Amino acid sequence: MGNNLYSLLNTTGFVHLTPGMVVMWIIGLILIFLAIKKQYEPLLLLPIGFGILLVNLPLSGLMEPEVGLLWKFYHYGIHWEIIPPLIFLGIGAFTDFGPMLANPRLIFLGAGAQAGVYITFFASHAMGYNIMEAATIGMIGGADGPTTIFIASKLAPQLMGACAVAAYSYMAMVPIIQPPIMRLLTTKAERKIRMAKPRPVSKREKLLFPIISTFVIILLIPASAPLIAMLMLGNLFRESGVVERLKGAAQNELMNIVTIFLGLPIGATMHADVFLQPKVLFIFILGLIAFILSTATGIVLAKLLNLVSKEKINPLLGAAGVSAVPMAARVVHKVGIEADKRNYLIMYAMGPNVAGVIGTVIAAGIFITLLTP
Amino acid sequence: MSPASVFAQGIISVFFGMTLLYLSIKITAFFVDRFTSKTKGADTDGK
Repeated sequence: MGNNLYSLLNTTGFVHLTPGMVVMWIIGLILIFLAIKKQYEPLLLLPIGFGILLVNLPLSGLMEPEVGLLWKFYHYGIHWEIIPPLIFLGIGAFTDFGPMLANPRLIFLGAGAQAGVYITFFASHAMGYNIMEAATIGMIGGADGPTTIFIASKLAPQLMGACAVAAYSYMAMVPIIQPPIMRLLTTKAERKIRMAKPRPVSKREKLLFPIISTFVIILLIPASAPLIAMLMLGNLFRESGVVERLKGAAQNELMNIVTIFLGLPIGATMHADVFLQPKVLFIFILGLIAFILSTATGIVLAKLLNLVSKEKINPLLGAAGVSAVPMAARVVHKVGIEADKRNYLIMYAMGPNVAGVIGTVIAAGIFITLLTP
Repeated sequence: MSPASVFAQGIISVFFGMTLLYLSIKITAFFVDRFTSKTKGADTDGK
C-alpha cells in the first residue's frame, strides 16, 4: 500500500518541483502582471509569461523534443525561421515609409543607432560570451523583438528566451529609458531646432520603394533576405492599394496568430535549469546597455550630421533610430515638445524610426553572414 | 573571425547599406519627378 502510494505520488509533479522552478513561476507571473496591469508589450509578454509557467511545471513534457506541444511550436515556427519573417510581413503592412522617403537623409540616423548594437557585441565578447552569443546580445540594442529572436535562433538558441524578454521589456520601457539620455546629450537650444518642411512624396515613389529596396538590400546582404523580403512584401500589399484583403490579413489575422505562436514557445525556452544562470541573467544588464548605447549613438550621429549639413537636424531624432516603432518616435516628439511647445517632431521622427527597422535587419544579416559557416 | 573585424565590418556594412538605400531613394525620386512632369507636359501639349 505504501509502495503504491509512493509510486502514485511519484507520477505527480509535486515531488519533482525544484526551487528554481518556483523562482521561474515568480518571473512568469511578474511578466503576466506587467502585461496586464502596466500594459508593457502585453501581446508578447503575456504569452511569454504563460510559456514560462508551463515549461516549469515538472513532467509536463511540453518542451520534450519531437513530442512536446510547445517544442513543436518552437521547432517548426522559430527554429525553421517561419514566425519572425511572418511578423515582418505584418510590420511591413503596417509601416508607412513616407516620412523616411520625404527626408531620406534621416535614414542615416537609423544606421547610427546600430552602432550601439556593435559596441555591445564587442563589450559582451570581452566579458566572456562567445562570439555568437555576443552578437545575439548586441542585437537587443536594435529594439526589434522579431529580429532578436531570428538571430538568436541562428546563432545562440540557448539565449533566445532571455534575449527576447530583454528586447521586449526594454521596448516597452522606451518612454522611461530614452528621455534622460536625450536630455543628457542635447542642449535645450538643440532640442528646439525646427526641421525644414518635408518634400511631398508621390504614391508612385511609395509603391516603388519596397521593390527597389528589396533588390538593393538582398543583393548587398543576402542573409537578410527572409526578413527584408517579408517586410517589403507586406509594404507592397499596403502601397499597391489593390490587395486590401491581403493587407488586412497580414496586419490582423496572420499577425495575431503568429504572435501567439511566437510568445508561447519563447517563454517555454526559459526552463529554470537554463535560465537561472549568472551568464544568462547578465544579459538583461548588457541588453539595457545596448539599448542606451543605440539611443546615444543615434543622437551623436545627428549632431555630427549637423556639423556638415546646411539644414539642421533636431538631434532628438537620432533617438528614434532604434526600431521600436512608433514608441521611440512618440518619445522624441514628447521630449521635443517640452523644449518648444510648437515643435511637432512626430512625423520627422517616424523617418529614422522606420529606417531603424531596416538598419536592424541589415545589422542582423551582417552578423549571420560573418559568423555562420 | 575576430570580434574587432566583425565590429568594423558590421558598422561599415550598415552605413554602406543605408547609403545605397539613400541613393536609391534619391534616384527613384528624381526619375519619378521627371516622369510625372513629362506626363503633365504631354497633357498640356495635347490640350
